[in-house]
Amino acid sequence: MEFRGFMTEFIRSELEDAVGVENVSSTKGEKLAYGTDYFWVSRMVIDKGGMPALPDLIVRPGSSEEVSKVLKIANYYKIPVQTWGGGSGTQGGALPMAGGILLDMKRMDKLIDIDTVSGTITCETGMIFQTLEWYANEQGYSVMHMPSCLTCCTVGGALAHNGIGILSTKYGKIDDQCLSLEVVLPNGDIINTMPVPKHASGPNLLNIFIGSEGTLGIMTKAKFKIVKLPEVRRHHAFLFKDISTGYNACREIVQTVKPSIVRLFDEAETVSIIKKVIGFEKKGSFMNLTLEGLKKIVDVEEEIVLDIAKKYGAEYLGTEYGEKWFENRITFFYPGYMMNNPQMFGTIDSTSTYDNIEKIYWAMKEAVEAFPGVHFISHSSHWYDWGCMNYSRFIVDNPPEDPEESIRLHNRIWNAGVRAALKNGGVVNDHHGVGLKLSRLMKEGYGPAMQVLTGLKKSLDPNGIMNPYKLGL
Amino acid sequence: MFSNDSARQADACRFCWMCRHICPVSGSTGNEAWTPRARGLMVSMIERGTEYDGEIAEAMYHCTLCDACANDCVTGYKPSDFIREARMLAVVNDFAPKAIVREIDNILTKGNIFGAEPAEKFLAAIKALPEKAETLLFVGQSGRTVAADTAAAAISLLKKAKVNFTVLKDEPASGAYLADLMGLTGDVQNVAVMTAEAIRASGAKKLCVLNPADAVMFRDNYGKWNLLDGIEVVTFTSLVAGLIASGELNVREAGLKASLHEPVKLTRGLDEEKPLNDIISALGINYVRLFLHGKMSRCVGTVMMDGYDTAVSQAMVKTRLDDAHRLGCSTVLTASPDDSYIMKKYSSDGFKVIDIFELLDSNC
Repeated sequence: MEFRGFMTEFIRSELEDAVGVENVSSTKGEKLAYGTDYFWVSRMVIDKGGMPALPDLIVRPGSSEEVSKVLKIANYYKIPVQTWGGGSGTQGGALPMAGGILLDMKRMDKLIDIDTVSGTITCETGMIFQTLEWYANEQGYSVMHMPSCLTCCTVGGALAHNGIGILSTKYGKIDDQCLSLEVVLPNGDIINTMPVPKHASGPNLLNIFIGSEGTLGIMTKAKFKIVKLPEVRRHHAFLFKDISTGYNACREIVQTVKPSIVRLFDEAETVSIIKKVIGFEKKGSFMNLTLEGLKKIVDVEEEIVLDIAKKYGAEYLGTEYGEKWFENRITFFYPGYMMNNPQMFGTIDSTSTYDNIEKIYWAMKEAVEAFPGVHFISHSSHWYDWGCMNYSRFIVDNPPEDPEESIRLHNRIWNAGVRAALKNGGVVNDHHGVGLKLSRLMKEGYGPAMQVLTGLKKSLDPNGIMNPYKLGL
Repeated sequence: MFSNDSARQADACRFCWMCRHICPVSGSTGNEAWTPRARGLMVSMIERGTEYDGEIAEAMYHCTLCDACANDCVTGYKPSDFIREARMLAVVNDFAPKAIVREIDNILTKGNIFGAEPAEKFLAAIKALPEKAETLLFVGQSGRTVAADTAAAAISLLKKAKVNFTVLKDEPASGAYLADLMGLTGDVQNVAVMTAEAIRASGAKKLCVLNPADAVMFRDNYGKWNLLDGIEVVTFTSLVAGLIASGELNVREAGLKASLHEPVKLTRGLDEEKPLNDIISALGINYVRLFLHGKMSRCVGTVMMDGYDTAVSQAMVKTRLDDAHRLGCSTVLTASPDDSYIMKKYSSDGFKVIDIFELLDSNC
């Protein structure tokens, strides 16, 4: 935000008038807090003593109307607006790379309604997702969206990158769980999507804004479906001789019954992370699976799952490791358990139909391991009737000391990994989003179809103020 | 600038977001800079060359040191360790916020963080107490001044139970607030030494502590510094629960539907949930348990925070009252003089905040 003389103070005064003096800030301490999200590059820069991109002004709106006022001001002065929820994203999606306004949404955290007749819950999008889940739990319900970042992401953040939770195989991704949205468009207009997600009233506006990463507008209210807390939740674990057998067995399981969790780990991840966190020591392809709901139904599903696993020669490991995995599902991401600086790492997650999933696994492994000193581990943790995703990670124990060289290597590995997925029927990303990290690969992923997204962008945000450099827009 | 231990802990916390949901300050205000993660990031960046100044110190003081973050963490890291050290550095280097400096001066010159004289009600309550007794009730700074109703109820309860006790008329500060404001410095230890001398001079064999914040200070630091050897330290809550159990206090049922805001220093700091639950049972409360309870109780603020940023205190109380409201409960019980003072101060229409010891006193 480069303005001459005292112009900045005049703009600040307008913003203070819109949201309250106490909700606009530019202190050093507050700016630093927004300098990094979970993106490895921003972390690395800070770890090496560098200064990340910081916002000029932090603005904390308390209502949709205040968001509207802020966007009108930003549009008039052509100031970039980067929306921040929990800041726990891995793709640099919330980073204030263009300076200007950092719009922190967490003051907008009100519960609006719980409707146990329809089975819905409605809230403002600055609410921490765990809080929304707690509110549903108080009434005996659950949103059933449980990502690893449940305790730190906001509802808006989860919607912005089209996130997913560990129970997705039964309950769906967030775009299956969200029923309607209120959105503030870049010009300040406040709009609503259709009241329900299923209709024949034209293309579904929901899917234009979910996953738009703050580039097309700001989601301010969201309605989700809720379900009754399950009568039983039972965990199991299995060991397959290799990941190939595991893919086939899991495919047959999810095409027959509806587990909430299916996590199949390749041989490398089985002997590294699984061993470290839950203490399982054998070689092979570890899989944990959870069934839940009414006891009578789960009893039957359990029998079917055990039969299918047996058919594929799986060693049944009982309930202990599945329970351990569930208890430790977040432990994997704490300091000391998760990869950390100075290691370089990234999660290249992609989705495809079953006919391609193993091809992607091997192609990505080969592409990533072609770089000297790079390890590759992978698991598949979100399954559909038609296909599943690969959650593949690269790890470089000794990346270059020089930050610029390090960033270039990081980007080359990412290019190779994502291109391996794209070449074999995959997508740019499954559930972490695009952000700054993968922005350059969007045109490759979409091809000529990218013009649909750029057309929307030009129409809704002609001044290009909304989250510049992200999502390839 | 920071100790190796603080730098190590800050480096772990700087890129970890996992405790955001239970941080009461950032949860009530939505301010990203007031999360444990952000403070870890700031300390880490200071260690790598960023200048530590008053603007960063502001974030260091927007924390109640309630340790919800550490209690919820699987790693054993404790952000309050590096935050206290950051506060010490801010005070020593003269860029702590003005309100904080004023609170420190109040403690050092007037004996309490409020800069207030003892309340008339408190002075009246201790008037006829003996000079020496087996048990010394340590009332604490808020009980003597802004939460005198709680202190008077506590004194009345001990009288009803015929406990041989007294209260120091010129009770010095324990150092608990001071340690929160400026870390565990030599000044704080000097205060503790003087206070321990006053306690020992009373001849008491048992120190009964009304304010859980003081009780944590006595247990953790006086114990470490061997200042109260031979004197048994108990919380007022556990003493009263014992008096009820032994029949020395006879309690009538209160006939009340209420939730309880459990003091975090009591449940998290001292692991004393049971005595509180016993008192609730004795009062026959139709009990609505708040979410975020027991060890995970959500802090409603501290007297230090209230003097530093009133708006934050107010927001934290509102969040707690919202918890009760969501569960259909309009009466909230408190169980420490600090919580009683803060929650009553910012309670809104439609809510009733009652101190559990005042309720107990009127039902014994």
